[in-house]
Amino acid sequence: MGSVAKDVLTVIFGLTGVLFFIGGTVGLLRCPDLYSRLHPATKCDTVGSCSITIALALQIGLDIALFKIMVVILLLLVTSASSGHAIGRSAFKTGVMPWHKKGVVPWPLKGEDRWTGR
Amino acid sequence: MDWTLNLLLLMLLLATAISVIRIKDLLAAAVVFSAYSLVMAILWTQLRAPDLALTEAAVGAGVTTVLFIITIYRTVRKED
Amino acid sequence: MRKAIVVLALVGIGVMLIYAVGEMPPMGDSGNPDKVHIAPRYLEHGEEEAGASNVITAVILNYRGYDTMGEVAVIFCALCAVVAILNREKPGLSRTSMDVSGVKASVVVRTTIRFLVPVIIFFAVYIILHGESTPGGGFQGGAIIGASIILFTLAFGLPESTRKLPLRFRIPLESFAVIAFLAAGFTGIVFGVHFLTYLMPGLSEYAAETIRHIMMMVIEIGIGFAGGIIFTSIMFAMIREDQCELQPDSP
Repeated sequence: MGSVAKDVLTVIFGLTGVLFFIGGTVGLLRCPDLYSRLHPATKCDTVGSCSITIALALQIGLDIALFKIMVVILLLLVTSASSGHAIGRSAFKTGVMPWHKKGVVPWPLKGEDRWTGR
Repeated sequence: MDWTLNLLLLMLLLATAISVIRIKDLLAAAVVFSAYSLVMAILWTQLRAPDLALTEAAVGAGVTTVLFIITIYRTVRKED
Repeated sequence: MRKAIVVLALVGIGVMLIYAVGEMPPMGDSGNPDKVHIAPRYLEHGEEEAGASNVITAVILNYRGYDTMGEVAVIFCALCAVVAILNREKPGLSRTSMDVSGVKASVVVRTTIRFLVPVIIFFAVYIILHGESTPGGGFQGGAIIGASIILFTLAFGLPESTRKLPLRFRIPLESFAVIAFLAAGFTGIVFGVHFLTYLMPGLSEYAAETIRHIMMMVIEIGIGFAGGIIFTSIMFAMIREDQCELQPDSP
């Protein structure tokens, strides 16, 4: 692989990462409740960080640092996905209401009134 | 080029430090304090002190935050 | 009135501080006293005098060994204070409110943490053992070990982690750092030199080097594991809740 192709790939991956980070930040600020905020936050963590680290790995080339970056990508994928899952699940279990219009119940319930807010 | 990143990090450090003092919700303050520690860790690496950066990241962002959160959980969450 | 006095005093102190800063030599100047005397000595002679290729480790363990010994004692004292106030957890009786609430950590979280904790501990052991030549050292590794055990406790609950790390295993390890430092210090006195001297006299050069290496290694490992266990014990003491404390102990 020539150095030009490498640079082009690096720019593409880096820009993807930056784009996802911007989207994630905007989503984090704009979304109304915890569940919809989790969606951009975890995207930003996984896709954004991973593509930026891939861009770094392309620039490094064959080195011992490449192996370290591989491990970093693996850990990023595992931890951010599962931490997003943990936050969402614990919010659901403790009864955090999702955003909804007034008088509209977010999803069908089994006889519990905690979702209607009363 | 080097100093723009440092300036940004320092401004972020100031912002987090001030908001830790101003926030009344103690749980949010603990989380912001963890962010302060992470920014500080990056600044330590910028100052070529990786040992301190490791300590700051592990103790400041990891252990202290957990201890703060446990303490807040066992006492009260709101200041005043 | 009182506020005005406070503001005046603060302004006065500020003016004095700013004046004192103006008197100081410029920051980062190569003619400053710290750059003329201490730093070149550490950088040039650190490896042969202190026996560690990472200068930070040389400074921490050798040039300023007393300081590090005091730090280790401070962490140990913190543990003593926390245990004196909050007491140890009771095997089989202590729970956390998360365990009591009945909502278990999900399978995803448990599997992730079962995968992550060995990786984190592996990284911490690497940091502890490699502290002589790369950034890191005992204290950093110890904090990472403590964090990994905290992670385990958050997912699997206090009974499981106290079963994995019982008191009879933790109590000897908590004081290991202080004991290792004191042992290394008194070894110097036994050989007839100052406290905390690593290079023993009256031995061949090779033997003295080897003994110094082993002593520094023991101290690093001691700080690391003792630090991690101390963090864990503080966390256990703070997080525990004895729901059934009034009931008699069941055998």
